Amino acid sequence: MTTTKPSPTPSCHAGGDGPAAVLGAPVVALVGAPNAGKSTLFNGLTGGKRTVGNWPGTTVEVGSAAWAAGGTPVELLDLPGAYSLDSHSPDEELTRDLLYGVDRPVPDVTVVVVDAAQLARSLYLVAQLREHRQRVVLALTMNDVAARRGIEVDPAALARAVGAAVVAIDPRRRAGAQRLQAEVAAVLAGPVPEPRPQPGGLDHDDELAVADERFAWIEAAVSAGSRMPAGARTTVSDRIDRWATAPVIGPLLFLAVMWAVFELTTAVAAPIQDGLGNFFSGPLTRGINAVFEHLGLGGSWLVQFVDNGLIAGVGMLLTFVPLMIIMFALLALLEDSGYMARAAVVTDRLMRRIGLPGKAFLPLVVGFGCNVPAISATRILPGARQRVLTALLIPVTSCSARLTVYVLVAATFFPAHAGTVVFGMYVISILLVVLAGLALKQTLWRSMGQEPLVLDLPAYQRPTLRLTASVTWLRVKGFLRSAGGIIVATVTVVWLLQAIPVRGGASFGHVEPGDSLFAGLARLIAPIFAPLGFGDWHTASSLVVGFVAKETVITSWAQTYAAADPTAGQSPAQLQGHIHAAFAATGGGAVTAAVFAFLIFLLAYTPCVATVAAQYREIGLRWTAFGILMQLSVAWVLACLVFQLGRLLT
Amino acid sequence: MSRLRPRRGPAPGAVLTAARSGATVRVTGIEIEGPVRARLAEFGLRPGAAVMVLGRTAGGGRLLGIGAGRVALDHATAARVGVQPE
Repeated sequence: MTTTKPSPTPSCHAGGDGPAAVLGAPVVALVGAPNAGKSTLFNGLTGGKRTVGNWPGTTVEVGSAAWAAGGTPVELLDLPGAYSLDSHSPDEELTRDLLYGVDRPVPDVTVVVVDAAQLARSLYLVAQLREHRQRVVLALTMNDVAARRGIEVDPAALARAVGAAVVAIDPRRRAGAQRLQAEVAAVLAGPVPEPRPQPGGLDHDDELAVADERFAWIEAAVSAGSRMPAGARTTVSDRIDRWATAPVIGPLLFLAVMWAVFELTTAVAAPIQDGLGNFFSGPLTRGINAVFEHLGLGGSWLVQFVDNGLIAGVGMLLTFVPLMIIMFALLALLEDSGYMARAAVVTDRLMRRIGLPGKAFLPLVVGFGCNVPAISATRILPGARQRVLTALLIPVTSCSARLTVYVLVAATFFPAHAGTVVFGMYVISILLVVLAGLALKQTLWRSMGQEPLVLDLPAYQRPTLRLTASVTWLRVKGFLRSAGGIIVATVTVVWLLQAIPVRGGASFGHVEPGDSLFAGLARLIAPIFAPLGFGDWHTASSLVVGFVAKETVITSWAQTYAAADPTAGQSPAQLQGHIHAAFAATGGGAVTAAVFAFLIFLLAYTPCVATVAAQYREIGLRWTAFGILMQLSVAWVLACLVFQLGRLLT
Repeated sequence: MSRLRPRRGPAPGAVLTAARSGATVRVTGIEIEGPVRARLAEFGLRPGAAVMVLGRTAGGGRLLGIGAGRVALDHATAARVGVQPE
């Protein structure tokens, strides 16, 4: 049996499936409501590294990996969350198609991940699945949450009521996997069960009657398989939510949480970053040079490439790894705790103003990590126009690659207030999303209807160290992978262009930086940025190189200034000195205005080629081209305004 | 009805947005059609269901407890859910 699998999303924090499945092996599909813990279970079972988070809609694509069910090799599929088989958005449609698509056999076993704390809600999908001839196994999760709420689930009684095997598991702590394996193997070996009996007079074309029949079946199953506490009772989660989603307090708390994340990130990472930078420019560079000397290669172009290309560029970028680790860990803690769904509620009204449903907040938040998966995450939205609008807005959400440049620039010009400046960039980023959304809504999408907010709020949970660490590591690995791939390639191209002389008569690799082909090209571009206050060729070229990926703004700066420094290798302080001098020269007395204009330009222009590729995939060529044009013009106009107004005021 | 204010609008009866925080109410009708109605039903919000109003959200929506589940609704949606005191 084969299944079609959509191509994986390229991302700077790409996750991964597990080992590839044996061709023709039986197919076991994992389904369930959004945020029921399918991906956590999938990772636990297969050793895969799917992105997981405590919010609905984390998975928008199908994951596939080999798994063994009691000695039988099977192909395990992780499908996007769906409350039912009546699809309302493309990710749910994908799930339905994979379960009952045309020309596609039904999976051999469908494992439904069922939230024990929300049995009734989780069983709707089971009611629908059991209307077909197929093998179904229920994996009961969130048993601890259910117990805290006084709900008792009897797996054996529930199994009798729904006519399918039920296994209690805890995917977050990797418990119960063996029982699930054994159960799936047993079910796989048995016959395919008949559909559940339905009343004879049921009119299958009457949607309301069909739904009512399912709800009646669910109620019977819930009362047979579980005991609820008498009367509704409020939980700790509810008491937190009264504040976390409340008017005024909720939005203030949201801003405070985000500010704390960025303040902590920059404050804790700064000394570690300095230490690493000094190590790369000091002992490491000296050590490598000594080895080259020993090999008789001292002073050759290879040494130039390693010192001024690799160490200056990639090394400088690697000093940001501690910063990435801290930020990703803090965001992972927030995701795992369940706070992100509350943030979507708090921002719903704002999103509505710009013509988007509150649910669109989730892809936009993902954008603050990396724009590429965020654009894929627009698939959780029901309307095509909302998806296009969200995908056009995501590039102005400030991704972590831009953070590296903010930190460097803020530490250079505003050392005492770096955290606040960086936080300010995030506030401006949110403002830009709102303004761009308003502008698009007023012009291109005047007729767009409003989507109501109906959002499931998962119970808060204490984040587990293992899950937080694994999500953090996954994203840091993505950062390192991009540093190792596209960024090394960019550094090499920049170095090559810098090594080719166009004047002065020097030989390849020994050219004065100002005489290189790179400088020649950069000087052609620099005048475009003169009205913005940063017409220096080093800065102008770093922005052009930054089109590939924002981290390369730093590598490009580091390379062009390192080449100017005959004492090979430079500390972060030296690079900051160069940048300071450049802005002082081009800012014409309004250095602060020029710096802010630069930061605004950096925030607003096209984030990276991977984002462009993701947009092309999701919204097509025309909208992608429109997006790039919009980003470049908005960035230039805003930066120009900031600098010119700032110059008038100083 | 002491906990409910009459709804300002054409339809008679009370709606969710008029219910006080902490009140438990019973759904009498939902003036929404199509996929949103189906989604609400999947969350357990359908005529006859008992719902606990847990709080008011930023933006004027409501936070609801339906069984052990928690759902946030925006103002416009909550205003279309007719309720009566439990």
